[in-house]
Amino acid sequence: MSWVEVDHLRVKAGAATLLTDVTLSIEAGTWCTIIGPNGAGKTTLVEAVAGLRRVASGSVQIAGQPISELNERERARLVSLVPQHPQVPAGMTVRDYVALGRVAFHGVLRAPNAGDKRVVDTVLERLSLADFAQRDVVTLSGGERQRMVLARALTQSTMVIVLDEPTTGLDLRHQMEILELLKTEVAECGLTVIATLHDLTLAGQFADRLVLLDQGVVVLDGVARDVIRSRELSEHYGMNLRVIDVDGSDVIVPVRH
Amino acid sequence: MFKSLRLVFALSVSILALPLLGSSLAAAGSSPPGCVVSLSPTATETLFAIGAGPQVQAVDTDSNFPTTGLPTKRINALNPSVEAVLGICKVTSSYPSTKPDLVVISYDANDIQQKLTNLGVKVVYQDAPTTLAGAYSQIEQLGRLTGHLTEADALAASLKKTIDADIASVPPHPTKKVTVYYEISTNPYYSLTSDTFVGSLLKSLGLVNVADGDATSADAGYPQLSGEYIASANPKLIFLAGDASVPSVAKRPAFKEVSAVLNHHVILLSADIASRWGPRLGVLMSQLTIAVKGVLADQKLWHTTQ
Amino acid sequence: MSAVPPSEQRVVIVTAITVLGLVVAMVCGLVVGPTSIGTWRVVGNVFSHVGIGHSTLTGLQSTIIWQLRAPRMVLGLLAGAMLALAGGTYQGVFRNPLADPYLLGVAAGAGLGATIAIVDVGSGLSTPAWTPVLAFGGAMVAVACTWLIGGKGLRSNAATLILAGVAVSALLTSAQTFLQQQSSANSITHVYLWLLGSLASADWQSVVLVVPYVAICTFICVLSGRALDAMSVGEDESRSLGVRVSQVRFIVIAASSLGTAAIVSAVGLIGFVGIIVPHIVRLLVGTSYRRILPISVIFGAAFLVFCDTIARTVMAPSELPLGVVTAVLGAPVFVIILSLRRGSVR
Repeated sequence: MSWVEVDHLRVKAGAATLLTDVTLSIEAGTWCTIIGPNGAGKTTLVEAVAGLRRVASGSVQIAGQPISELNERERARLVSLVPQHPQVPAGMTVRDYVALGRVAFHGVLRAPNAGDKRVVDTVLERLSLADFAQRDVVTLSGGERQRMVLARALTQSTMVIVLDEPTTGLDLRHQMEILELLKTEVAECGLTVIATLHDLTLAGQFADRLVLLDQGVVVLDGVARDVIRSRELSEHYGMNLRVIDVDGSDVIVPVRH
Repeated sequence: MFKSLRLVFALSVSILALPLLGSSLAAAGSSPPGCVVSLSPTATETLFAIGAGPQVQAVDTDSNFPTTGLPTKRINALNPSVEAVLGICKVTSSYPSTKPDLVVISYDANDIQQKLTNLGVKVVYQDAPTTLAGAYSQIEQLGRLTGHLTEADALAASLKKTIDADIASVPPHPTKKVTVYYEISTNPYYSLTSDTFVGSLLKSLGLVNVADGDATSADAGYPQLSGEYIASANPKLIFLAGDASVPSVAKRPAFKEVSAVLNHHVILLSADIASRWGPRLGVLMSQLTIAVKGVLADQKLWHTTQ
Repeated sequence: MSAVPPSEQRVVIVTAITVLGLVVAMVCGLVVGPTSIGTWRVVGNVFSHVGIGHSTLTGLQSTIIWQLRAPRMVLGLLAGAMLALAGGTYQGVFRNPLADPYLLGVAAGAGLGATIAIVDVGSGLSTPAWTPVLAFGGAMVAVACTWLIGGKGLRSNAATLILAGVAVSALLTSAQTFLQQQSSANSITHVYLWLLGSLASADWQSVVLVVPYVAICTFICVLSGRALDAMSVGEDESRSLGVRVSQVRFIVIAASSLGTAAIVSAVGLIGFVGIIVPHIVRLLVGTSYRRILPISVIFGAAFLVFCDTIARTVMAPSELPLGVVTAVLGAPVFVIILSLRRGSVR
């Protein structure tokens, strides 16, 4: 039994079907990236894995537990979310924002205890946010903000972390920075990462597994190396894609005819 | 033995009679109130008319009659300060407290009746009566409470006499129905039915009130009438007790062809006189009577009464 | 806007000043009034009740203090605290700075209930004694309708609830206007005065009736501060953080509405306190509801008692409508603090 099991998942919005019959098995401690053209349903899929979508049929199981049967607090201990456009409430300090990740543990009625505070401090340190701890969250730059949202997810201390386009709005350096951070977490803590990325090169370089989604259906699911070289990739993106090896890393480029 | 029985009997009777003696002593011994507060313009008029004016130390902001002699202390009857009322009386050697001993209200604002009663102040609630008899008894009540019963009885009797005379002076008119529209407000048109006080006065003069036909129980005597309804009822006499003026009525499109307008039978009443039920009832009644008689005699009545 | 939100030290100072303000307001509520009773004599009388010294007040003066001013002051504390708290929690739950305690139809429902009680409906039978009960019932029915129409807050978002509240309020207000139109001028005046809101009819009985509701609801709402802070990142994100959003929303709305309905049934619709006090407090101590809510309780209580003292004294022997004073006093205070801080609202 894999750590994350998506079983024949079907998600609808009104009359439209966003995901059809999606089945995935994701092992613990691996990085799985969902790729696909715009409108493929990538965001819907990761939100469903995080338990934020009403499911028409099928199920999502994490650590053997169907998440639809869990309440928000139980689910929050299993999976954390880094959304594409996080809401950043003005007037909150960075520390308080990051500490929100511990709400799943101490609940909304109790204050964080010493253990919670230690976790927050450690994460702030690890993500180089300690100097910003007392700053108002809206004063952070894009890169700093993304690190902060990731920090919040990390304090949640879940085994599974779901990220929706974590590189949105970041320059190249910060994009690499965030992804390297995640890679370290996967390697050191056995974190299971499920992410969506639109940049195919980055997707190929950081993920262990790639899942190609198009129009709500899983087209291809396999090892990153294989998926990026597949014929289906070019087909579904509607482009001529070539893989080039640069110093041992795969780089994917579109080629004009 | 019979002698002692008689003694016992006499003793028991006198003991039983003591409370009665005591209360009549108390009644005879109680002096008229030294500090009266009137929160009703009607009551103010009555109090001053029966000679209790000197006892009145504060009135409400709407009290404006009599024109001289009213106390300077004014209280908004719709939002009175109960505490201030308790401290309103002038302390003298004969009246050593600031607390009034009689407060007359026509509207219970801020729970004033219960609050003052709990604090030992006599509160009398005199809101609009439904009949002339009710108005007379309110005058008598004030007379009794202020120690001016004789004057009050005289006032009530004189009012009754002039009003009865006015009613009698209207010639019987079995064939000629005089319809009346009594207007309280203009936009929209509000009138009153025969169930109300003024409505009963109109009825006693033999007038047929057009509002009676259009009212339901929910209106509680003050129905809203449409211009069309009034026009089709074609009243012969119109009384204006609101804010409209006589010339403005003629300008209303719905009223142009109404009998009262064509024959100049539109009467403007003073809002104060028409909305009170005190000593000036006689004035109101005489204005109503003159109007009715004018209609019956087909006289023009572009009349402005102040 | 400053880069660093208000410090803990600043919060302590603001709290201390607010508590001081509360004490001053309470003293004013007892000592100031249209009949002048010496301050120290009042203090002496208060102490005499706890066995220290003896009182020099006359019976009438003592009655004025304890039967008129004291229950009015206590009811003012309860009303100001509850309205400010309800306004603050609504602003937190809906993440909307324009939220006030009457948002979900409480005002319209209470107004309709009161109108039904006051207006001569039918054969001249008006039951003004039932006004508080019908006002309370009307308020709760209105909120329940809003809740049901707004999708039970389960999968709906905050905006849907607000819209449902607008619709329910509009419907109930029109029903109220219809009834008022049909009734006599006396009843209309009575309803109008009730709607204006006033502490003038306060007595110990109404205080006792209101206390349990306000106590429970205050307790629940103040405890919800941390949850509201967590919910400031939006519904989806706070769900992912483990906040049981629907549950929190239901509990908070129910508690706020219940407390507000109890207050409205006792004192009518006092406006402005619920929307402005949380904003003033927010400008002073920052955007965390953990801080805003408890301080709003104290500030609201002090503010309303202070306003009522003015309302019942400056135009003696008449009184000013309380809603006029809260607006005339509250608006400039807000503007002044706003221009000094130039903070932002979350």
